[in-house]
Amino acid sequence: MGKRILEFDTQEATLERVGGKGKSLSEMIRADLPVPGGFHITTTNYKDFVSLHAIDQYILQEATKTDSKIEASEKIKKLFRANELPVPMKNEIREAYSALGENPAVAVRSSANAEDLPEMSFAGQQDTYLNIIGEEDLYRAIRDCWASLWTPRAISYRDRMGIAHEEVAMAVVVQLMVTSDVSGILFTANPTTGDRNEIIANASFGLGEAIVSGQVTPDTYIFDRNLYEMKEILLGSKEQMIVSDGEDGVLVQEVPKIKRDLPALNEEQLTDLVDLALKSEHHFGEVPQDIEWALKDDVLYLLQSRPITNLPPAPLKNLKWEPPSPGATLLRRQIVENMPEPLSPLFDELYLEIALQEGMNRSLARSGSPYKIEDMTNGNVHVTVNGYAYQRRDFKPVEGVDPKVLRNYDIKGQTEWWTKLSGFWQNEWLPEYKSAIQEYEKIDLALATDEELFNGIRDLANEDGYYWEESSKVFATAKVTDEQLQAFLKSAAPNHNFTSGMFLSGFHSRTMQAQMDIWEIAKLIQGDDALMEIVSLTPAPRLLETLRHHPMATSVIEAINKYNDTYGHQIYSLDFAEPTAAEDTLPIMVALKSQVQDKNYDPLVQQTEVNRKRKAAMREIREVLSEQQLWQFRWHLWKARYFYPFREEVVFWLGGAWPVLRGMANELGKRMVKIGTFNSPDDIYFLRSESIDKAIEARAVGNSVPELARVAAEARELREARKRIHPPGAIPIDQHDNAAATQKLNSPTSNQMIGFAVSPGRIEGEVSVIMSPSDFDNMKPNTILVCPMTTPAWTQLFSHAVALVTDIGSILAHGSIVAREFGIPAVLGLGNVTQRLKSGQRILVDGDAGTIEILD
Amino acid sequence: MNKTNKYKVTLEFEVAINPVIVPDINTFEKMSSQKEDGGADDLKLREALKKKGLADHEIEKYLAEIKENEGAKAKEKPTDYQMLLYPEYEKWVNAQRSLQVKILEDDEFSRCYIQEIMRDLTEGQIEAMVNEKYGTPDLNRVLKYAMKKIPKEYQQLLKMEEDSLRLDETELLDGSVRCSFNKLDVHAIS
Repeated sequence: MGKRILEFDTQEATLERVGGKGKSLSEMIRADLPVPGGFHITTTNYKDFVSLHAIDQYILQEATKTDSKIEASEKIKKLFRANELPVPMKNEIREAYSALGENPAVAVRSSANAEDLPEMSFAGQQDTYLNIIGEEDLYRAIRDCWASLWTPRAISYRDRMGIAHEEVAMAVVVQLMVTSDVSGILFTANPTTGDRNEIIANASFGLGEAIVSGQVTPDTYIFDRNLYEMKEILLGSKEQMIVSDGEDGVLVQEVPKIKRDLPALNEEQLTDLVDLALKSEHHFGEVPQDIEWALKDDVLYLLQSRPITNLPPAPLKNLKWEPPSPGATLLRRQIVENMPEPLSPLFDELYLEIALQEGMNRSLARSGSPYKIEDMTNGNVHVTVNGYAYQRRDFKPVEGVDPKVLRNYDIKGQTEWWTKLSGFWQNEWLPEYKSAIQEYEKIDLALATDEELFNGIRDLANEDGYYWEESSKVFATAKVTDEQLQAFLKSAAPNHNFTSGMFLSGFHSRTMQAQMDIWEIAKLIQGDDALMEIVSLTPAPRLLETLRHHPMATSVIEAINKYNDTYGHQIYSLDFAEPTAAEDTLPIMVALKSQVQDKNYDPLVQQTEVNRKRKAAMREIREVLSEQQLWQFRWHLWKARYFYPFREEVVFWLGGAWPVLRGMANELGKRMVKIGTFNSPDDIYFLRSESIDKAIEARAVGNSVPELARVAAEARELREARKRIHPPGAIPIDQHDNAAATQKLNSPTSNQMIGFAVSPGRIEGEVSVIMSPSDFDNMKPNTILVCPMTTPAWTQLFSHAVALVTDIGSILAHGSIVAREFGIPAVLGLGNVTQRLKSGQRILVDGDAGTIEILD
Repeated sequence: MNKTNKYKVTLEFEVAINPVIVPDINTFEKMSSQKEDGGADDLKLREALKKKGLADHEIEKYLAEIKENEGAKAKEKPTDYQMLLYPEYEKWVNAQRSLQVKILEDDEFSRCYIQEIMRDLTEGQIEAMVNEKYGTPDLNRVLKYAMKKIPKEYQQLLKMEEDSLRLDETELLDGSVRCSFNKLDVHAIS
């Protein structure tokens, strides 16, 4: 046998030569797993074929064209059909085929050299040809298999994943058909929950393609790995089966009704299957496997074994949501509203434990407080439970604190609060913070010592903590005055559904300016047909890179860079382990794409409409209120408007030091990778400072601390697992009624949900559930944005949202301001709405009443 | 009638520009300290105390103590720290006063201002304002009245008794009228 054809048990089955599927089959054979016989047609054959017929360049041209992928795919397919395999190639294939028997029925499966990798699933994107009998049919199936490398779906997938088309080639697996009685799929871990103790098998009658293609509802078996016993059987309807039809391929048959209600596998067969699956998992380094299997005449065969793609981390069990100190009341509010996910260990320590606490003490000392925060709170104000941040609300002065002294200080504080805050913020707190950032910007990272870098990280975390603790007073004043206006409207005009948002909408702000700036870039693109086409056709995750390499896009890239200079420091999450807006530009690209494609989009029209509604509300309220009430209203409105802009300004600079801090962390991390202490530079975020100090000490004398990489990996895995749990808004749970809570407690089953009414209007529509920045390109234009919470970096997602609904947040939240500015209804703080809804569902949002209704 | 009759129809608005006057700090403080549902609070508290088993005289005593305490507190400190912002509010008011003076000291400019503020204030409402004064438009009524003055034969031709046909039967008459907006004039009265 020549090198172009390889037997299954070959030692030469590399990914490059036989593709992912072929490589895995060869390994399974070597592990003595029952795999039906066959051979590999290596990628060399594919390359020779396209080169011999001089169609390689043509294929690339078609695939990289920005025109219709469907058309390109059809053209490519015709080329493969129109050209014959060269004779020497045919001879080698014939020889290998004959070795399997006399004209045996075979399955011809694609095996691309970028297929079935743990990070990316190409499953189902290339074709499989079943029950192929005879040489001529085999040759045709091989060419069809090669052509399937260029289906519209496969081309788009590679575009999306950033895989170069010229680097892929297709090997083909030719394998004896198992005309199975029963077949199916097995996962050695639960692919939905990530539970490693559950083995999930699907089984149905006939060939496995019926399950893979979704034609039947198979039986589902859940097997407990630890107890080594069946946990649950869910019988599927199994109406149809795909069976062999001799030389005519396969056909679909009805399953006799009497068989449908019976399990396709008995317990013994299932146990045998589990044993084989576990053997395969063991062979593949204990990595959980996704296995295709077949049962024929009571003999089991494994047709494929590959790592489960995107397997979630194992779920955490027996979680308790209890405060660290008994009796404490914890709420996910205020600064915590900017921390949607579980915290990284370094942020938890440096920011939550130290910077915020010390920030409070610096603020107290500045204003002449005789006490420290610990004297009044008996411990840290911010704590984590299961990795999630909470703010304590059970402050009681500790013994020894003189209430009279405290009261005098309170009066002094109140005076300052209402007379000097805005001036302090503008003239002291913000300039001080910016100046600290600028000092560290000057540092030459390459020349700084490890200690200098780590001290810089600590300092900047502290500076942000202090900035927040001072600025939060201006922020809180805006909330207080907004709430007072809201309360006044409810009591003075209870039957008119007035909300504070009606009178505070449509003012110019950072948010609107950012929107206008993106729109300017969109207009730049709209003015050039070639750029329009690129932006319309390139997936958002790859758009920036594509534009960077396009000669016509220089001015667009300059405009994006300018945009990032102004807004790039903004955060998706305050945890500095997460990238900033400039590092993760996906939301901007999503906004840019949708604005470019929507010729009718015009933020100025949107703004005019918001202003019109505000003026109409002003006219209406003048008619409704008595003269005295009108003065009270004017006074409340003036105060709310006086502080309103600070809310957004304060948050705009929150985390402003993170680009510099992350630069220092990355430099220190890289040094630790080089010496062998870390696996990747960002391991630094998954350690506490004690460990980092240890790593720095060791590096100073040329040593590494390799166990820290393991500690970081474990912390990273724990954080990933924690991301899948939903933290309660209040601990204990009855504290959801607390006046300071930012989440309402809603029933897990009711279709009516209550939250906070923050931006007026009623709208019915489809939802897009967006959990984190990585989901941003799933935002469907003109849908209701449903998300855990929003921060300034989420703003660009609002341009095509028709309403906003969140888990966390109340009148203080960033989302409430932005929704008002965009003039869209918003209901925040529903607690569990992201768990209740799936993208595509329809809901009714009532931003006046603060409710939503799930319609389907 | 064989010639065109022209009319000038004037919509008249009276615009009064008052001095910008706001309540002083004491009035504001008084307004903001007024509890609208104080009585309701009192009632709720009485009910809660009753549920706790307190006798009526004990409740009265308790409430009197609370009021006394509140009174003492009120004397002890400013009741509303937010009133400390009043000087800022006053600055804002003064800026508007200054703007008003500037607008009104130039005749030409003040006319422009009045024209635009009048348009802004009446936007989408002129029809409602006219209706409020004269009732909803009723051309039918006027035509019917006029028809009484033409010969019986004509009355029959124009189907005077069939109200629903009236505007169809007078289509030529009504169609002979053209109405267009002419101008918006601002004249000082005093």
